[in-house]
Amino acid sequence: MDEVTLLEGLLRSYSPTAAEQLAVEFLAHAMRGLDFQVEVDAVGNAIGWRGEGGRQIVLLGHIDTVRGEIPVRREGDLLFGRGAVDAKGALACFVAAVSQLTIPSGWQVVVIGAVGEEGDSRGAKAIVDRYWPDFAIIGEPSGWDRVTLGYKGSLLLSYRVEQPLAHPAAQAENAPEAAVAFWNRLTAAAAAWNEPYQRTFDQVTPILRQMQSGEDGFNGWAELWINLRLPAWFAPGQAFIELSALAGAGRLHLLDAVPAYLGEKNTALVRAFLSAIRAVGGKPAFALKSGTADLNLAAPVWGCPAVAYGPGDSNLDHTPNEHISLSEYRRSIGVLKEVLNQLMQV
Amino acid sequence: MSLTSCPECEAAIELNDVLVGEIVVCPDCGVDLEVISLEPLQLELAPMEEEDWGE
Amino acid sequence: MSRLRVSIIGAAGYVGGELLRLLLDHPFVEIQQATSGSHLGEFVYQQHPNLRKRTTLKFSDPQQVKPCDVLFLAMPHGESQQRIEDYAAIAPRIVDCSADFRLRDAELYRRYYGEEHRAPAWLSKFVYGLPELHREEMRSAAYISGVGCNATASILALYPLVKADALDLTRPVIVEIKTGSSEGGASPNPGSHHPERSGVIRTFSAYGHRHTAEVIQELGLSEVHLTMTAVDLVRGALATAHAFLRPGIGEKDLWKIYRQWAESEPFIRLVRDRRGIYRVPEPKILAGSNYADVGFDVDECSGRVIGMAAIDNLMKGAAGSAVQAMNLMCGFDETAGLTFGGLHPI
Repeated sequence: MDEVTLLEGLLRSYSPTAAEQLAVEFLAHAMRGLDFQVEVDAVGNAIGWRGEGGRQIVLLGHIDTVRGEIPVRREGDLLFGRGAVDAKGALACFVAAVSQLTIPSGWQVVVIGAVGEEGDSRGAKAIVDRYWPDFAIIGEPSGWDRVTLGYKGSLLLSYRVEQPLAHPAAQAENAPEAAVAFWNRLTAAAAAWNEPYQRTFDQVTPILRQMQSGEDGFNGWAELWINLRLPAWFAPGQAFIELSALAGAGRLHLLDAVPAYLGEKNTALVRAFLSAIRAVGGKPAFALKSGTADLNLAAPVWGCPAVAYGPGDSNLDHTPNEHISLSEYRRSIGVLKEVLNQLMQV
Repeated sequence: MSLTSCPECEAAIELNDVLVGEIVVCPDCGVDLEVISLEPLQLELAPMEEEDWGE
Repeated sequence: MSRLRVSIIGAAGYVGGELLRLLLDHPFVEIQQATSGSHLGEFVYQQHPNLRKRTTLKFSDPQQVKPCDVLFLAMPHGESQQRIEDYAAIAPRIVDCSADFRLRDAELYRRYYGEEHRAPAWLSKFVYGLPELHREEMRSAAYISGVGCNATASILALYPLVKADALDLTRPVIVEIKTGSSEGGASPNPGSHHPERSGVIRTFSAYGHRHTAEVIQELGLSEVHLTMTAVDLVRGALATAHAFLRPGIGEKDLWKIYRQWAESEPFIRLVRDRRGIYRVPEPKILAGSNYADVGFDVDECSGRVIGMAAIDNLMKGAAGSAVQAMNLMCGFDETAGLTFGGLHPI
């Protein structure tokens, strides 16, 4: 199976979060055909590996996508389909590159198509304890000539406030007003925290995801769902404490917390990427992402050099226009092969 | 020991035991530099950190 | 090697105190006398509390100065020119920290000081006291003047540009100097009263400051404009010079010009860094140090070059340069007794 057939087949196996089975079966089958040993684990991750040995490189991609099927089609060099960029392009790049390598003895290269990344990362959570890689590459779009060093952290929480109903003319603050006042305090606090920082990567970004309110005749209530995008200097626990101090009469409930991750530049892994990108005529760049990825989850556990890499323009993530350039996809396979060869020569 | 210069400020830079792809700091202007070859020793401005959206 | 005997006339002032501090630690000299008419018989540490336990020297009578090898004069302006013949009979080498012998031209002196010089015949016998400009003459000099602190900062901010002939001198050369309170000396005046001096940013000399004459003389510029502003610092001066480059001179040329100069000078440090907090010259970290931090920036659109020099006004701008001059005059290592690099944090 050539690399384009592989990617196209993955895209045709539409796999929104929690419905990845079809794509997992396709990937497992494809990897077997490409001389991988393959396993589908208990949570449904497709795992393939080549080589046996004490040293290990894990390439962790995700096989699920956001919802919204996009008909798979070719337009010249462009291939359209849900996940073309985020992140089946990167996952197919991993499989294609590893399949074309001769793995030296003493090394094992593992490719994982994890489920649930766009949700609660259950696929990645299930495998982090099973591997102890020397190097890790997470499959997310960076562009073929860039390496992603870091992702912001994330804190997801709900805020609920209840107030006894009073006659509107009494001018007492009601629950929706209290919730709005909390949101305003939060955005003002974020502006103050961000004051010394120029880069978005170093700033706290509050996002109001949902708001609801109602009343039952005696009491009014209001609820906000808030997502805070967190810089590396602001741990989720610290952010929760700061927010609790602003909560007033309301209560905060923590739903999810992921700390930011910023990788070291002077590692054998980054060096290999820089020289591999230059070797194919590119001018390497580093990317810092304002979102969150499985890199945040896996890299701190593994404690090894880790970056995210993959073809595609992440501005197309989660859009109805999601597509990838096949020539870029092929270049990224070339870069990754060179990177893996360099890492395993040492 | 190899001697080269900073492409930004032309400071003389002496480097020992560096690797291709290694990021070093210019002692004068403080810019990040990438070792792009060893024989001869050549430095280029290291990649910039670009900010991007992406999950 | 027996130590040379040095004496300080006018040792109770701030410059005298700094001379004492430096010379007490100097490896090649010993202090014979430190005179003060108004503090006769007191221990020097009663005026300079940082010297307690460093010396048991007492202030002696300025009328009874014994012969010595080097005489430092640290008296108020106008006094040394009246008695220079007497001092020259006591010591073969003199460093006069006052303004009396800084200018070579009696007419320039009259223009800026508003009076006739009392010993014009001596003007040509003195070498201007900035080692960065007069090192070779100092090695064979018997008489060396002091330097004006604001003049020193201004000269150091512009000197490499002038020496390299980098400036378009048909366009104005303007220097803004920010300076601390100790340059006003140890005698109080109504403006130095704490409630009036604390917290100020006070432009006390918009033009025509006496130190301008030194800058004109030393840089050979027919026209240069200085403005002095007192800021809320005890020690320190920062000169920011604005001038325009000749066509064809760019940032890399400036790097070369400044670097060549800084590399050849033991007390000039080039500061133009992209890292850390102190990316440009700042006087704060130079308190007590003879180092001068210099830097530059350039607006390549307009051709404006901004030269910067930070010093401790009592050190590089007075006592430090005086000791450096003595080192050269006596054939000592130029840096003897002067290697303190400043404090951080402070």
